[in-house]
Amino acid sequence: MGDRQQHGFDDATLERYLDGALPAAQERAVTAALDRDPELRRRVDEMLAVRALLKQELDAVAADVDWRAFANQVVAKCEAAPALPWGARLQAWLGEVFAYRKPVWVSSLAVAAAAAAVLLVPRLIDQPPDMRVADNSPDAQVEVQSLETGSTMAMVYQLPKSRTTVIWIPEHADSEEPD
Amino acid sequence: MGETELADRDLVDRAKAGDRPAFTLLVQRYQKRAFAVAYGMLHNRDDALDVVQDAFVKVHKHIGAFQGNASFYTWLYRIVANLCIDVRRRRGRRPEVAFEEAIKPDETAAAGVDVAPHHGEANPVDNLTRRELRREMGKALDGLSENHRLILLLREVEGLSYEDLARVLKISKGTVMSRLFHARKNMQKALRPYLGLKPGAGLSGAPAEADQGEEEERALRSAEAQPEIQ
Repeated sequence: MGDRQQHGFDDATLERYLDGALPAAQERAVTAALDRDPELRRRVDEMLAVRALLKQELDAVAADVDWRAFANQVVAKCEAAPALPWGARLQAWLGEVFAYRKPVWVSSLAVAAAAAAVLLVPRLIDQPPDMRVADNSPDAQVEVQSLETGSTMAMVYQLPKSRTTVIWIPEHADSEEPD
Repeated sequence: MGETELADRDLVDRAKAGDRPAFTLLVQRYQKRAFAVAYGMLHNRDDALDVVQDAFVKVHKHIGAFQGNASFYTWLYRIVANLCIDVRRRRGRRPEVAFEEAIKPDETAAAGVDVAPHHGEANPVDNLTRRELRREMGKALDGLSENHRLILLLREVEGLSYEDLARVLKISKGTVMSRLFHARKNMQKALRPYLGLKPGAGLSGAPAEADQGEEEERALRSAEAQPEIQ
């Protein structure tokens, strides 16, 4: 806390200043203080020195690699790899969705699944009796696949006679959001 | 990164449609940056190159499912980060190749290249060769926790914003600031003797770290449980 008392700005504030993450008024205040306070400048220099070192050194290592053939090698490896089955593609898509907007999409998909169920029930009831019996058979409503992404599990059902697919994703109480 | 993002999205759309040159351009655009992060994490050139290659293979495999909710590069860095964590876990020990060994001997000629910015003071690295400094930086990085190392590399080397860091690492923005602050302080502390930094600078104004350990562990587990974007 000594730094704060002596110069008015703590290290966390100075780091955020260097990140450009301070509110405008506070940023102006730090800039003004830097102009008149050599000790504050020294502290900022230290912070910048470590940042610059890391970037310069790692950039230098990357620049030392011969990249000319790398992209073509990657593409060749990609094209040699087998294509994903549709289930894996869906799982990847769910992973992408949940990685960034889990709460919104979980809720939306749960609502969509519920809406699909509401719409489907009357249709099934309206079917002729033989159809309703058939709908209770194991192959009429097929759980195609269970998918897990993180802590979320999804079940995909296919209803062949109505040519409908239902994706059921139960909502989690412990879903987390980046911000 | 606005313009880059737009161009990335265009390239991603074209790559989704099977446009090979578009995918090649994406690889060329990010290969060095992804490598820098991987090398910082692994300290081994070959391992880092393997990780970058595997990351792009995964990108290619899953690009059809990429919705563009996030920037392409945040997705890519998340894949790279997870692959690096896998490699380190598989190693289960310190890397075999020291940080500086990947550097060509003739690069020591670059000793004395300015590292620190100037505000009218002497360059603090004048008394060290670049090679020595690299070795110490490698040790300092290795001394950080996995989470601190990763966030530091993504911020200082790749320049990711707080928001992007939160997305890549699946943590809150507050945790980003806290973790970044402590990672930087640890790095400064480790490099202080080699950069002419003044001893005794503490963690003044350190953001609260009460929930840090628990949240970091949770984020790490969560990252590992996402093979589809690894």
